[in-house]
Amino acid sequence: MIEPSVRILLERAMVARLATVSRSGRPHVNPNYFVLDDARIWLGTTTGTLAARNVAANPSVQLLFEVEGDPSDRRLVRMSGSAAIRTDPDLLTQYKRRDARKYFRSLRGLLMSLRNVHRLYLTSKYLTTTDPTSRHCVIEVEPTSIEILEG
Amino acid sequence: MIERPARACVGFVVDGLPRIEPVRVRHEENRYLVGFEEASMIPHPQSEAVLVVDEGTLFFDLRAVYVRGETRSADPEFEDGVRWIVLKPVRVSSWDYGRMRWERARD
Repeated sequence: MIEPSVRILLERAMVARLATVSRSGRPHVNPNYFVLDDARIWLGTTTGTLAARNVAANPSVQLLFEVEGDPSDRRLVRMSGSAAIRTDPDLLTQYKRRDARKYFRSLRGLLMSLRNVHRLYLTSKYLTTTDPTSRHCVIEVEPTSIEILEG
Repeated sequence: MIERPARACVGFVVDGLPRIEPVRVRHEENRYLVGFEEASMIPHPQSEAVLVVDEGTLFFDLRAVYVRGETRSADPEFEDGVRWIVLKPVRVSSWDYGRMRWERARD
């Protein structure tokens, strides 16, 4: 369960930095778009990315979130958790709906998307042709501990 | 982006588990100085760490610099109330979704 005070901060965050560890014990960090489920975090990616391969090998992750939209609010949320790769169609559909609501619904999000509509195909192609066997997935993170850092 | 980082963090491994810390960054003479707040956990010297500097919040607005390297002690270690380490880069890459374009692969 994510406490309401943390949930308010997470709802104001737009990008999650995901830290993972490879099968051979090497660190990796990447920024990801994410949405908040009732008690979990969903990060969209493809199964061929290093982050997804790391999660498949080692489910322990940490996430770092910054509060957006208010430069005077320098709080961050750090979350430790256990992650899993989800490819079930129902969950992917739910993720895509929430993702679209979060990133496309604002005027700025809509304008940015319209300006880059020709890149939608390129992004999808890039993500799936880096590894031909790769397919869309969600990294689902179940939090085990959460702390608020004063930036 | 490195000179005026919007967001910067470092990832490293502690006892087999991932650790991520928000940091400050300076770039000097092909090395990255990474500053940790007092309460932060610091990667061991001569260990592998990944620095990510990113900015943007929307689709096609997100871009990042990714530096994988090895940690070293900095001199001075403490400055401006921050503990500094050096990240000696082994691999640096960057991406910008808003500038993505089609290009035929070269042979």
